Amino acid sequence: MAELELVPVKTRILTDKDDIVDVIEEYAKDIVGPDDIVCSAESVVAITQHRYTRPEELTPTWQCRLMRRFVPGEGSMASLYGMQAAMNLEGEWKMLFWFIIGFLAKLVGKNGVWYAKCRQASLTDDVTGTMPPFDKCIVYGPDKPDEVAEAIKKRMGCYGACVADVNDLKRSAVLGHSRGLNPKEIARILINNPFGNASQKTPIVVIKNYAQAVREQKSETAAKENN
Amino acid sequence: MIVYQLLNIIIFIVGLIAVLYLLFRLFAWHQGDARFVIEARRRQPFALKSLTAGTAVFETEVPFKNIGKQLGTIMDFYPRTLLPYEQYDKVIVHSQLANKAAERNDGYWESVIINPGESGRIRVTIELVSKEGTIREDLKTFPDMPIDLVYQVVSRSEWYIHKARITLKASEVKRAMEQA
Repeated sequence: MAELELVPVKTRILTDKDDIVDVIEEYAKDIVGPDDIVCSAESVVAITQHRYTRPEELTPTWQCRLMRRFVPGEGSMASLYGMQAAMNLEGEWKMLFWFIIGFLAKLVGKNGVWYAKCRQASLTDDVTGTMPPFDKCIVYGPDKPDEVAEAIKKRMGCYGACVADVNDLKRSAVLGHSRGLNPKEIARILINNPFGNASQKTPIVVIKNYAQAVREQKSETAAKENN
Repeated sequence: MIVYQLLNIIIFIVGLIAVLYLLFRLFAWHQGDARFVIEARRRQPFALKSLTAGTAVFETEVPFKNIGKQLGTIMDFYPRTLLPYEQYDKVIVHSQLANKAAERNDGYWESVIINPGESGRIRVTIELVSKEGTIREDLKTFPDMPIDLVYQVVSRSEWYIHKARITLKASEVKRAMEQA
């Protein structure tokens, strides 16, 4: 029976001068096989796409000044500049509209409407959200994560690839993936945050033997059905 | 008649907006913000950490605290020494600052979130390099040297840069050199 193995891959600090596909090839080509899945941390993908800004570059709007007061202090959107950064991508009026709708939805017991409709509100990391020297930056969610995952898969010749958002608080989500992967299944595998913290500099994780495990699982199920 | 009704509606809307705005301001005031205090007066005395023929290194620790109601982020923190050559011209001054809770020796301040009521300490390191390679002799006439501790904060409100001041006193330098 093939066992899944999670292999974190250490890299140098990546910047917007890097291409994430080239970096994965450079650091992981010797360990990635045809049965493996290559996972990349979403904040690092965003940084290589230059999707970040600094508080000093932002001018908060009145919508931003109003809304950030009603967000719990721990979230990125409680910060004036975290909120404004998300607004710059989503639009002030759209964010305000869905904020009001989200508030009304919450009154009738439906949570998360605002974050679902304004994706940057959940994907944007405020300052301190990532490793130095980007700890002073607000990092957006990655652009076209599905395409990035497809490009990684094609270059590496592996079973699949994904861009994942995972943290130490047992929150795991796959933001983009190559065709044929089950994002919920991959998110569950990554739940213990094999990427580690920022200072460990392991933005790539290889899930070894995934395809083999899937094949064995299928044949086992088929055998049981036949019996 | 219609004009009066229209006027009443406008006054009502303006009044409603004013009341909502006042309520929001009241809420914001009650919610508060992060507020950092650098407790310069509670700093430790400068201690001599190393001494060679040409160099003397002094260190102190300074406490700080978030006395506000909200968490805040210290984005940057650095020392600025103020010793013009008109006043004293015998040494070159290098300074560095580090967060005691996340020590590093490269002078880089890693952004850190400080919760309400949470406190911390910074380590300030001052290296004095003699231009002539005679640090013991040079430091006999070293004056009081102000050091600004400059920090950038961001929280629920706009980012700002503040500074607190400590002084590397001539008496501290003299005492440390006598004991070395």
